[in-house]
Amino acid sequence: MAAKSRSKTPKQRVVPEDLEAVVREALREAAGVKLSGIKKTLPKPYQPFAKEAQKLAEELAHRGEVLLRKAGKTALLFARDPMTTLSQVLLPRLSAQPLSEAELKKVANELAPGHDALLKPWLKEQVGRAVLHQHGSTKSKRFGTQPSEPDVKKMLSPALKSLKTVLTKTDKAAIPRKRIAELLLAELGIPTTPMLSGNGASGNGATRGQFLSALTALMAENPREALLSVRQLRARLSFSKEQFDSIALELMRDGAISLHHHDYPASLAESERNELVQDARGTHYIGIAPRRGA
Amino acid sequence: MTELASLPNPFRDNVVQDAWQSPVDISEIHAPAFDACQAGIESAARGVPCSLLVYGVAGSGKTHLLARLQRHLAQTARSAPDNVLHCVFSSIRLQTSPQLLWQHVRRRLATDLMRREQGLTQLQRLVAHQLGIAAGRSPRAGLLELRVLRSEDEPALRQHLQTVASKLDLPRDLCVVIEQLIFNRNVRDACAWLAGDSLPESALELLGLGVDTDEEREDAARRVVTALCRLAGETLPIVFCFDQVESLQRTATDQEALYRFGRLAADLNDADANVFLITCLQVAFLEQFKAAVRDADYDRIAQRSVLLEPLSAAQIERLVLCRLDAVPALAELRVARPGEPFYPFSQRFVCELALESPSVPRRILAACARAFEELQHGRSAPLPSTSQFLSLEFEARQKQNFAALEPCDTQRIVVQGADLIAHLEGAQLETDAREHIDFVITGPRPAAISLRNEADGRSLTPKLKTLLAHTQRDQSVPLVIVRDPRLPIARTAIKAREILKTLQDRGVSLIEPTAEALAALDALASILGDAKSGDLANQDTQLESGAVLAWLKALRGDLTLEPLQEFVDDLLSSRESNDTASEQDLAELLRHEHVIPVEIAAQILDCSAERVLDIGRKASGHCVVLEGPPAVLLDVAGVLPEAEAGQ
Repeated sequence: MAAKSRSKTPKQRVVPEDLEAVVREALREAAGVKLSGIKKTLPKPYQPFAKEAQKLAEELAHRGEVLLRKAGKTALLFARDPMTTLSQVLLPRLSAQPLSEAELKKVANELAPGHDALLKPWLKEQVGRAVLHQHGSTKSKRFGTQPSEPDVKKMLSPALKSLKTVLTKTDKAAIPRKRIAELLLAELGIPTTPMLSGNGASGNGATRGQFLSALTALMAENPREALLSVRQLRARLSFSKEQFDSIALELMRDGAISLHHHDYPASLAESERNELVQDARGTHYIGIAPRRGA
Repeated sequence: MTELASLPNPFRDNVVQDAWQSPVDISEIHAPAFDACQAGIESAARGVPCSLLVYGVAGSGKTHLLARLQRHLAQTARSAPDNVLHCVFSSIRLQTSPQLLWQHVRRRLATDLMRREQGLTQLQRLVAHQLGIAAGRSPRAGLLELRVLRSEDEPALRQHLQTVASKLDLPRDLCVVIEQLIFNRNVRDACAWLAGDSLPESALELLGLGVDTDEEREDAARRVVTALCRLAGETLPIVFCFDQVESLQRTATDQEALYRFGRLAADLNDADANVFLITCLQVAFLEQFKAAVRDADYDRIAQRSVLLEPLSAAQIERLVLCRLDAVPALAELRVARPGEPFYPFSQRFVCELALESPSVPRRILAACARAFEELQHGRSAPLPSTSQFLSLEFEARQKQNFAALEPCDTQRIVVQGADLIAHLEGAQLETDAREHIDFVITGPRPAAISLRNEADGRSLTPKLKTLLAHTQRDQSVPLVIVRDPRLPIARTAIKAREILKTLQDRGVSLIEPTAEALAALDALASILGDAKSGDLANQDTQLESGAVLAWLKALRGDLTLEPLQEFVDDLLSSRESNDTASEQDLAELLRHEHVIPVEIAAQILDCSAERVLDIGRKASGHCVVLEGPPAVLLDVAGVLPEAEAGQ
């Protein structure tokens, strides 16, 4: 009897259509995953597609939809900005009482698993921005939201003594104390008249003016619309994407306009996403409106 | 243990489900949007139709705004010019299939018209208002008269309705039903008719209506809704609030669903000069909505638009204080600490809330809920994973649905859940309108699904005839008829049974989904609908539809989905059965008897006890067989949900 010949054809792998959504979901649930560790985070039916998932995660990071953060030499994946997450989780605790690094690590492990590797850079950043303050010596170092304030009154006692002496003379000369206070504030470098807003902005006045004029024109053409399309406004201006986005974000910070974000930008094609305004946190804004009273 | 430990967290429950809720409210928040709503009502009251588009990101308070409007209208009804009603108010969450849009609006409008306040429904108040005006008295007098209607008042009311009907070209059936509802007669059946349910001949006879024949149900719903608009608009403005428009879309790029909504809204706008439409939309739909809807329709829907802005620091403070003071025990503790205005929170914490991006109420409340929990117990409960959250949500909604579902819900649930059925099967869905088919599942196990939930033989027969006319033997896509098991086809419906038998001979299957499968499908569809509309949040983390679908796919094969999976398998594995007539006989018998020994059932159905047992075991949607001896059959089609509801 002739032997049956068996031809082996490799099975074609069909990657599930929703793998991207699954990867995004997996990263949302398991923060601080290494690229090589993504397989473990996938539901069982998807684990055979770990390589494709890894590639997708890299693409998502490249598109800014997930964040790749370095902790030492290791790159870790996060669905949300880990520094923001740590701030949300740790700052309320620290506003109640100062905590040591070990205590903070414990809290981070409990409330934001996968984020402890970034605790040191987060502390450094917060101290640098004066959001947190270091208390105690190196050995008993703790962190709190309030600075450990020295006795200012004691430090100023010679100056206050001199001031009392001077005040007797100025009072006799009928110089109002308000005038004295203004001079002292000026000496301290604290302005006594309100600052003009907007002048210190980094975008130059002409480009901001063009931006606002185009917005006004768009509003005039769409009088019934409370919210206007960022895309339409962009089409009216010959700014580069960076220039347009930075002016829009700056005007929002200044309270001149409000920007309104897209809840699910991942549903848009990359070219469509590029037409929206994107901020440093990866939020995409689709709508724009002038602020009431601005 | 802190003094806060035993207190309820005042910041939980931060999603307002519908406009009839009464959430804690702060009038300064979104005041311009609220003013725009009031201006719209005033415009409609002057006979100038008006519409308002409300934009807001997820969690910005769109539904809360509608709830505020509804409550304001109810509270100020006494100060209204007529002392009776400001307007007729209907709030419609669009969690339905685009194919059933008019039927959904009809059901919601009927439900809202039948809401009672101080013993009278909105519909009764509306008619009282008109009676008062017609008789040259104050509407208030009309209302008082309606409370004490006597039999001698009936001719006058009937006369009035006839006059209004001929003036406004109202259908006779609608007038007859309204008359019954005003006099509180046959309320159950009249309400069911008004909502669009298919009623058996006996119920229609009782109401004095003709037989429900082969009229297209969407067209019928449109006629009733627009007629009700004309009726209300005769003397009062009528307000339609549309929420969760996004959930109509089957996919993120589905333009057709939005187009259909645009057509419906424009028809409503044209129905009467006193109509005011409010449409709530997510900001993300700013461009898509405008592109999908016809320009002429958009002009009718969006005569004005308003934006729900992020909260200012002062509004955040008011929101936090208002919630803190809403718990009396906490308010007492706070009085004892006048130096800490936000106790138990620090001033700094409340200031930092303004840094939340976007600073919308849902996000602020979620942050506060977490912080409050930490103060209570030293730690906040860990955020459940997405799958944990969705599983809990699914379980809760399934339980709630199981007790409440009626046979009339079956069509909505199956058509709305069609994309979920396709998703579970890994197949595609086609919803091209064909007269006899509701949707088609394509893929390795294709099936064309026809929902046939007509109440009795008279209304079912024409539909089955249409099916028969379009059905060939050995079709490439098998046809499956889906019918609720609580609606057995009576033995007297001879023609319907005959056509059904012919259809089955041509390879058509009849599937009766169990109540468990329907409850599961409805729960999943509502979760998905909420996700599409930005109303599904795991604390402050908004979940998109992609996350829900991925979770669902990972759940395949899980026991929790078993009833639904069985239904999907039944739908997509076409089978031939000759037992349908016998199953229907048994179902009809059990509907009357509920519990019956097999021997007696065999005598009534004129067959052997073994045959009855065989049918009973197969028809798990209808009955349970207690093997005995003596063997007994239990009706489960209607009894189980009732028992669950009783618990």
